[in-house]
Amino acid sequence: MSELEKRYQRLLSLYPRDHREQHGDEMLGVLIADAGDRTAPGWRDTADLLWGAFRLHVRRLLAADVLAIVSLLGPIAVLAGAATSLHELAWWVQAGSVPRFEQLPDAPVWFVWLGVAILAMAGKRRAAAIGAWVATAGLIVVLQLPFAGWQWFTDKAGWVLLSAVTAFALSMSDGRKARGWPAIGTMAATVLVIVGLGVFGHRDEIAEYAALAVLFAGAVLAAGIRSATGWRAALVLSTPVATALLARLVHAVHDGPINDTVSTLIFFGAPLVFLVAIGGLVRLPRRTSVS
Amino acid sequence: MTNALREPTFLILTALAEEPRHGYGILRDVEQISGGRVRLRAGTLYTALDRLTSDEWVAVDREEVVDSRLRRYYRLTDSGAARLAEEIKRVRATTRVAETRLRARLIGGTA
Repeated sequence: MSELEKRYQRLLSLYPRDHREQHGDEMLGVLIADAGDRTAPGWRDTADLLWGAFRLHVRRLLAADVLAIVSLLGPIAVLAGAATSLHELAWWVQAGSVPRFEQLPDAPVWFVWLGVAILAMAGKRRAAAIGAWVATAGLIVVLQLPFAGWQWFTDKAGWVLLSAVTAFALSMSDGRKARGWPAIGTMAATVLVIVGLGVFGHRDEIAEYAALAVLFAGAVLAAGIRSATGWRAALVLSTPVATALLARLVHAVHDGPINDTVSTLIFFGAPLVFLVAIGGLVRLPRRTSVS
Repeated sequence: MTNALREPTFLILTALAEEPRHGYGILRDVEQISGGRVRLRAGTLYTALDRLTSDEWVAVDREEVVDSRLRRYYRLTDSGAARLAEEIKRVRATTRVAETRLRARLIGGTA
């Protein structure tokens, strides 16, 4: 194998797995034929291949089927983000008091999300999409409040990301191909377990990790374990898991404050890049090559 | 009303209108059709083919192995041909208006 071939292969390895398996050899042949006397890939070819790989990864992640599942299950999954606030509310209720706004600034947002979930299940997608964007904006506002426990530099970024992606999915998808009531039931049960773990196992490390595992497992089961589309949708629904693990990793290696720009890049940029990349690793059922 | 096709898409569909072609054949034909103005690269071509096959405008016609490397031929499907015909109609209508207005300008002699 020539050096040129090896270099092209390295670039082609960045393509989504199913595309690579189906077109990798064919593309290599075209690239070699088009290379002429070149001994190394030109910068235009390199840029073109990188851009092509990125577009195909994004296309797979934002495929209509994936968005349809996220638009149905996302509004339910997001409700798991209310676990901490519900624990807080339970504490105040138990103390025989009513919490002030400063104690639960995100409470209105979760009520909006509950409404969005009901609207999405009822098929009122336009209203659900509008509500989802309002709720996402609400979460971003809560992130800015000085008295809120929500900060950029926390695992909470995952809920904001999931909110935004769900709002996007509700705006883009008509939800026609989404899985039905069993999937909704599975996701709802998952959220109830996570909320239970959040309320009764608050600040318990085992309960926190268990909640993350439950979210991932529930998302996979609800979205569909047997299809690549289901796995991709499950990865999107599990965004808070990725961010929470990332937060723990960052806390372990860096003790101290990080400025907002770096925090944003870490907790919002990295999970998005991860999702785009990992979405392309999921293997699609092999298509019939000749029709 | 359907959106206008992007130029690479239009040229790829045009390249496949006459007969099935393999990837490299499409690249060369697109260059020829456009008079050397558009030179597609492999990344752009296969990104477009990925979309065109999922939209069922293009399908795999046959495969052969040349110099121990897979060569896959693509063909235009009936829906792809219909979409290309629609685009030609759209471009022709626009061109006709442009021609008429240009002629009127030349006859009128105004800037």
